[in-house]
This record gives sequence, C-alpha cells and structure tokens, in this order.
Amino acid sequence: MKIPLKWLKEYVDLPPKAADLAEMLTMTGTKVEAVTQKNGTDILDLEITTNRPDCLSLTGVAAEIAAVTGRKAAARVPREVKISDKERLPLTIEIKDKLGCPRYLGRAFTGASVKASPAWLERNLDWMDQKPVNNVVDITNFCLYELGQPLHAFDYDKIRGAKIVVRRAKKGEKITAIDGKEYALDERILVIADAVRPIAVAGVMGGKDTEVTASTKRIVLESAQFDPILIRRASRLLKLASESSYRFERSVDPRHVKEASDRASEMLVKLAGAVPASKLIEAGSFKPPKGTWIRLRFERINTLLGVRLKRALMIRILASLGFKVKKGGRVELKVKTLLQRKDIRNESDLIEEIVRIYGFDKIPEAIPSTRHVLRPADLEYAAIRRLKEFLAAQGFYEAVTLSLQSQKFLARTGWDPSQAVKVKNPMSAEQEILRPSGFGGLLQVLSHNVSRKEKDLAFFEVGKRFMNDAEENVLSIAVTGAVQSTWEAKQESSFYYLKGVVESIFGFLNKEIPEWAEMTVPAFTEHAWMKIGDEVIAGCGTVKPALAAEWDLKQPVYYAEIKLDAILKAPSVKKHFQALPKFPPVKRDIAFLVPLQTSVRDIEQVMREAGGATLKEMVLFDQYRGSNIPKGKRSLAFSLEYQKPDGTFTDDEIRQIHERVGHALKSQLGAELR
Amino acid sequence: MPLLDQILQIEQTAKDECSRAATAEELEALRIKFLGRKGELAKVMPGLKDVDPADRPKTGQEANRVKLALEELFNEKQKSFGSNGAGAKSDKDLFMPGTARKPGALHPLTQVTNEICDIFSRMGFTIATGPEMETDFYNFEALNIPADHPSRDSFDTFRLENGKLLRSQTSTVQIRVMQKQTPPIKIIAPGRVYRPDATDATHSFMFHQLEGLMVDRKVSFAELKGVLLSFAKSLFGKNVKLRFRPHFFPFTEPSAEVDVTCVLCKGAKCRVCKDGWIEILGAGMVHPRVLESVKISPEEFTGFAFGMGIERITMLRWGVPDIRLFYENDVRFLRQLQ
Repeated sequence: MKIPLKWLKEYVDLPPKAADLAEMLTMTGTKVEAVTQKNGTDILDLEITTNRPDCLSLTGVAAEIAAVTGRKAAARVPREVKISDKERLPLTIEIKDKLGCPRYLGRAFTGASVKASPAWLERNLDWMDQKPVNNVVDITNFCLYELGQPLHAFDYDKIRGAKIVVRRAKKGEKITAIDGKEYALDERILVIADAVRPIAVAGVMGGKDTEVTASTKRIVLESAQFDPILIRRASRLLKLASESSYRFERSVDPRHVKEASDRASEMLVKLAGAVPASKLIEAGSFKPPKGTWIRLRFERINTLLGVRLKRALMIRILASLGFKVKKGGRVELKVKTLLQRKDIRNESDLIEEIVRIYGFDKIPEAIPSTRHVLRPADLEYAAIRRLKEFLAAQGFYEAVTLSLQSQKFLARTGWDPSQAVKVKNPMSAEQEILRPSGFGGLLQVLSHNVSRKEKDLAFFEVGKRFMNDAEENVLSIAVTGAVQSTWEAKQESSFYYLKGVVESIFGFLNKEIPEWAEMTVPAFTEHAWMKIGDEVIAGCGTVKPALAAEWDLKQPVYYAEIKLDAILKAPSVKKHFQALPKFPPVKRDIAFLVPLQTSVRDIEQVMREAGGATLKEMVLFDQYRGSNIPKGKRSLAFSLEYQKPDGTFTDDEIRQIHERVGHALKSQLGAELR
Repeated sequence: MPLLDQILQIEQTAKDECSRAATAEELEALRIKFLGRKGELAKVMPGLKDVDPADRPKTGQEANRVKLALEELFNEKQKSFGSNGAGAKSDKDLFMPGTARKPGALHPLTQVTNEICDIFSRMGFTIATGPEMETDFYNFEALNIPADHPSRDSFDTFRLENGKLLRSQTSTVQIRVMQKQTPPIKIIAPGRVYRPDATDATHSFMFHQLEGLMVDRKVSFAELKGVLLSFAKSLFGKNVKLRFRPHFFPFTEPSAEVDVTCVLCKGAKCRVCKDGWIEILGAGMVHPRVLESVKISPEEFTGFAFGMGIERITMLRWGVPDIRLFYENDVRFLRQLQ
C-alpha cells in the first residue's frame, strides 16, 4: 500500500527523515518495499500482510506509527451534517442476507454538482495512483484511503423504486460493472439491488447503470459491512478485484461504517454542494462485541522467546498498541482484545506483538538444548544421493527438468497425453500435465545441447513421475555421441553401453540384477526391460531415429528409465565371507559361428549346463559379423574360466570339459567351432 | 665419520635405491643423485684433502672403485629396462593429455542442497521427504491456512484433475512427520514445489525449497536464531550476520523474514541488495494451531520452523543471474559450476 508522507502527517507526528521511518516500520513488521518521490512528497510502499487489514488506511498506518515511534496520532471527528428542510427523498433499505451484510447505512443527497475535484484532492489520489473521476467518486475514494472503509455512491434517479435491497443474485442475472464489462451472476454472489435488478456487486464494484456521472444531481451514499468470505468468493468467481474487495475480504473495522459515512457526507456538502435529503438510514445493526480477556503468562513468553522481559516493558508495549491491560499478579497479565485487531485472539498473538515492537535483534542467539534421539535415516534419500555421485563420477551430468509439461511436448515423446495427470488451472500450455516419464525432459536437454555443438552427452535426472493417483521416484538416463573420445581410445555410446550402466547401478546399490527381457516399444528401435516380481522396474532402449528427429537429434540416442523406489525396496544382496580358492583357475577361449537369432542368453545357458560346477565365468570378448562370415551368422568368442575347489586340473580333464562345452554348443545350437 | 666410511655408505645406499628403481626415469634420477657433477659422491670428495696423507691414496682408490662399480650397476640395471645406453631418456611425450574419462557433475541445485543438508545434519537434523501431489489438509488446513482466507493468496496452487494439488511449499512434510513422530523432532525436508507463477528471471512455476522443523520441550526463538546463524556462517562465511524482520506466516508465530549480509557487497549496499541485506529465508515459532492439528500439545511442546528457496541461495552463491538456467541444463553452465 502506498503511503504519501505529506498526507500521513495530518494524522500523526512523523520523524523528520523518511528513511528512519522506513527502517522503523520494516523492523517492526511493516515492510517498506521502496521509498519514492511523487508530486512533492515521499511515498512509502508498504507490504501489508494479510493479518493486518487495520493498516490498509492512512489512519490505520498512523496508529501503527504512533505505537512504533511513541508519537501521538491525532483523532479526527467528522462534523455532523444537517438535513435539508426543503427536499426529502424517499429511500428504503432492506437486507435479505443478514450474514452476508450485517449492516448497511445509506443516505440520499440532493443538489449535488458533479465536477472535477479541487486540486488538492486530485493530488492526494494521484499519490495513491488512483485516477480522479469526479468530486463525488473521488470523495468516496478519499475516505477509503483515509479510514479503510470502502464506500459507494449511486445516482439516486437511476435506482428503481427508491429501494435498496441487499440480497444474493439470482441465477441468470447479469450486471455491467463500472469497468464496462458484463458479469454473469448467481446465488453465490451478494449484490446490491434496487426494486428490479442488481446495481452493484456487493463490496466489489458498482454497476455502470447507476454510476455517478456529470449529469447526476441526486445521489445515494452507501457505507456497509460485508462478510469477508462472501466478498472474496465473489471477487474470485468474477475474476474482478478492487480496492474495495481487497479490504472487505481482509475485514474492515465495523466502527468505520458510520464514521466513513459521516466523513464522506461532510465532504459531499463541502466539495460538491450536496444537501442531505434523508437521515442516515440504517439497516441491520452493529453491537460492538464486549471483547475478551487473554491471559499472557510471563513464563510462556519468556520460554518461547528465550529471554526474560520485564513486566513493565510488556505493559508499555501493549498499551502503545492500544490494548487494555490488567495485572494478574506475578505470573501473568490480562489483555483485552481489540475490535480493530481481529488478528489478536490468543496468547501467541500477543507474544508476537510484544516481540515485534521489542525487536528480534535484542534476542540473543542460543544453542539448542534439545534431546537428541537417534532417528532412522531416510535411507532412500541417502541412497539416491550416493547414486547421483556414482553417476557423476562416471561422466554423467545431472539435469533438473520441469515436472510440468504441455500435452504437445509429451506427444512428441510418443506418449499419449490423455494418460497423463492433468492440471486443472494451468496458466499456460507448459503447465498442462504432470510428466509420466523423464523421457521428454532429457530429450529436450540433449536437443538443447546438440544444437549448441555439444555432441557427446550423458545426462541423468532423478525425479518424480506421475500416473493417476501415484507418484514415484525414477532415474532417467540419456546418452548420445561418444562416451569416451581421447587420442588413445574412442568409444561411441550404444545400447550395450547404457545397458551396462543400468546393470552397474544394481551392483552399486547392492541389489541382484534381474533378468533382461525383450519388449517392443513404439518409441524405440530396440528395447530391453527387467522386472522384480511382477513389477517392471527398468527399461533401456535405442530411440527410434524418427522420434529423435522430432527433437532435432540426428545422431543415435539411448534412453533408460529405472524405478528407484522399487529397486531400493528390493532386498539387498547379503554379504558374507567365503574362503578364497586355493588353486588358480584355468582359462580357455572358445570361438564359434552361430545364427544371428541365437541369443547370448541361450548360448550361456548351454555352456553353463555343459561346463557344470567347474565353469565359473563366461566372458564374451568378441563379436564379428561381416565379410568371410556367412550371411545370417555371427562369430562369437568367449573366455571361459574353470576352477575346482580341491585341486588343479590335469590337461586331460580340462580338455574334456572344454570339449564338452563345445560339443553342447554344436549339438544344441548348431554352432560351428572355429 | 671418516671419508672412507662415507664413501662406502654412499655405495650401499646407492645399491639399495638402485634395486628399488622401477623405471628408467627413476634410474636416471638415481644416476644423477649419486654420480652427477653435484651428486653425493662429488659432494664428499673435496674432503679428501683433509684426510691423513697416509690414508689418502687408499681412500682415493676406494672412491674410484665405488664410482666405477656404481656406473656398472646402473648400466646393468638400465639394460633391464630395455633402453639403450647410459643417460637414454624415454621418448614418450609426457605432455599429451591424460585419457581417463572426465567426471560429469551434480546439478548446482543438488550441490547446494547437499551442502545445506550436511550443515543441518551436523546439528542433528535428519532428512525427511514427502509427496509432491498433496491434499488440501497437508498443504493448507493443517498449516493454519483456512479456505476462503486471503492468506491463501501467497500460496496459489496448481489443482489436479485427480482431486489432489501440487504442494506449494515443503511445509507439508512438517505435518506428515509430526503425525508420525513424537517430539523431540528435528528434520529438514528438501524438495520440489509448484506455484502458478509466470516464468521470468527470478520466478519459475517449479522450484526447490528446503524446510526445517524442530519441536521439543522449551524450544525458543533464541535457539531458532542460534541455529540459523550457525547455518548462515557455515554456508556463506563466518563474518555474515543475520537480520530478523517481523513478518506474517499463517503457520508460525512469531514469524520472521530473515536477511543475510549481502554476499556481493559484504553489507556495503550495492545495486542488488540496496540496503546491505538479502532476504534468504522465512522462519518462526510453530503456530499452536499447527501443533494442535497434529495432536501435539502446544503447552507441553514448542518448536520452530524455517524454509528457504534453493534456487535463490544457489543464485546468490555463484552469481547466477537467471533462474531458467537451472532447468535448461546447458552442459557449459553445468561444467562451470562443476
């Protein structure tokens, strides 16, 4: 809220320097966002938090400054206005929704001359960045800023039936507001109506039809109290906010209803030549609540703050804020609630009031003396952190991509956007859905970097993916270009490279590597996946060139996604020492031709069975396809490692076992040994 | 020690070291060390003039013998390295680049999160996490942010078609932890949060927060100040100060916004901070109604909570000018902050 100091000075003594005042306000909880100059005055831009609607006016801020600085705020009592003895205007006011509008004051005026406001009034409104309209409207705005009570003036002659009804709108009713836009209304919205139709959205904005114009002579001045929740809902439903709704939804001091009406009446008489043509007509009523006494225990405040405050100091601070205080012996004070401070309802509210004036800076820092309990660590969080470091150490960069995406973005990854969790209130297309996978995010990261001439990329991301009601942590990995490219060695990324990365993650996390299986997935040229139990927990594949091209990626791209929650929940491999073999193993190589469709999984199975318990290790060390290999075949070479627990092999023994393996490959898989 | 003994000792040491030499380069270094113009042997020889003239010839002969013996020894050893001849140097160009795979990097936001987590871990806080799709109860009601209240304005949320919402703050984790644990509670909760903001250099509709909570008997505001000051000194340097400004948050009372001495100008007032301070977190004593909502007695227990934006702290830390750089993942950016 803008506070012009020249105007504010009418209500309270100010310290000479604006900067000092700003500092004082900021350090007591009313943050001064900026100090600017406009049209001959310093203007403070205050951030008024939602608990302090009492500060949404100049007199409210004046009271706060008086409390903070110990200076005096000047009270200002409006003069009573006299009713015309020549002309009386009929006006009835009826409240149909007493909860929505506990009290409504209306007064009719005649003989107004609507014209531009005097220069000083226009200047004051200009300080508030409020455009001057005409003297009548400007007076209502002036009172809003002065007292925080929104007012409205209607053209009396446009009100049908000389009647004001406060009621809920009916479905189908419409109103064109002063902003010139038409709004559709319904029962959820409180309106001010005449005998026939709504003439204002209560507490939010008046109607165009009944607004005060240059030709207006007779007016009705409204000053009312509205239910904050109803006003807030109406403002949100209509997407229409105003200085008025801003204050009503935060709640307005009910005593200002009468005071503001009197103040505006006084000004209408003086500045617009208006003559009251009715008494102040009151519908509903206002009984000031008695207020309640809050206990403020010394023990409580001192424990909570970690200081010892003097009783006299607390009393002085509370009194400066306008609170009535009763002493309650050596243990407590009793403090009466205030009508203008609805936010102060209990002890902790009072403690906050005292400490904000006392100053947080006067509280010394202390080392906590809490009890220290060993809590189970969040093992999953810790494991993910180590896993990230493991991947980074191997050359991967960690990416952080947005969990919200557009449907179009998701469609480009080959996903059907209709399956994704949708956002009901996106502000733009980029916020339409929650990502069901980390795929799109990383494709975009690759695309961004490749277009900047970075061709060798390895990225991973850990984050949530969302489906239906569920969310889960996944690790996404994408690689493209060379994994390693030095003068000594070059290695291009490949499906097998990424497969190895996925397997190494299981090893790193000390989990069994589940078996791989093949699956056709539309987005991938080839795709392998693995399950734990019935749950698919990892997939790894070569992205289809056509799909990669959608992201301007012309080089091969490989992508893997791993469900971390599921893997981390799987049982860990039990560690236990086993005696080291006393005798060295024997290594024998074996090379053979097999049909292309014979998988290494099947070959290993055959060798394992044939080799028996002595075959400890099978390592594929070469694959060859091409010239001098018959079409439809490939050459594979394995290094096999044999070992006995209780001795060494004789040459004969080893030859027999190795031949058995070769024979099994020949007879079961049609392999041709080389 | 008589010169003769010194010479014999040099011989012994040289033999020992020669036997341990593993490369031609090492051997060459030994040759220089013992037989060079300024080598061990050369260094002691001027002492020959001080030797008793009667012993002088014998000492001289012995020195000669050792010199020849060592030359022989080094030459023999040299052959074992397959090099040809005395003084031969490896022909490898040692200035070609190393060929190990270069490490990648953790994202700058992760690095800072880790660092902050480590600081609080050392003060006894454990890490807690919670879901990103949340309910009204955890995001608002339990945090004393009632429906239809203007205090909701600061916490606009994305609503989802499945009836849930995306959490707009990590304070949701406070509630989840307090429902499960009884005090003493000391947790920090890092994570992603979402707010329907328009994206610009300092705003993003998704960002990261880190929340802290401590609840026990007689936890005080003074302790909150102590913990946060320890944290700030550890993260930003031991000379920084904190400034607590009273503020309003629905879930704490009293509440404060906390400023740290500007990291750029060290408090001297600059274009970025304007007054020497930079706001880095919000904090306060847990509101009694929040404790009541999780059935912890506010009479028996008190607590403090704080929250900070990871992006903001990372931007301050390394002078990152635009929040969007974090989500773009330009590898040149990631390398800079490796």
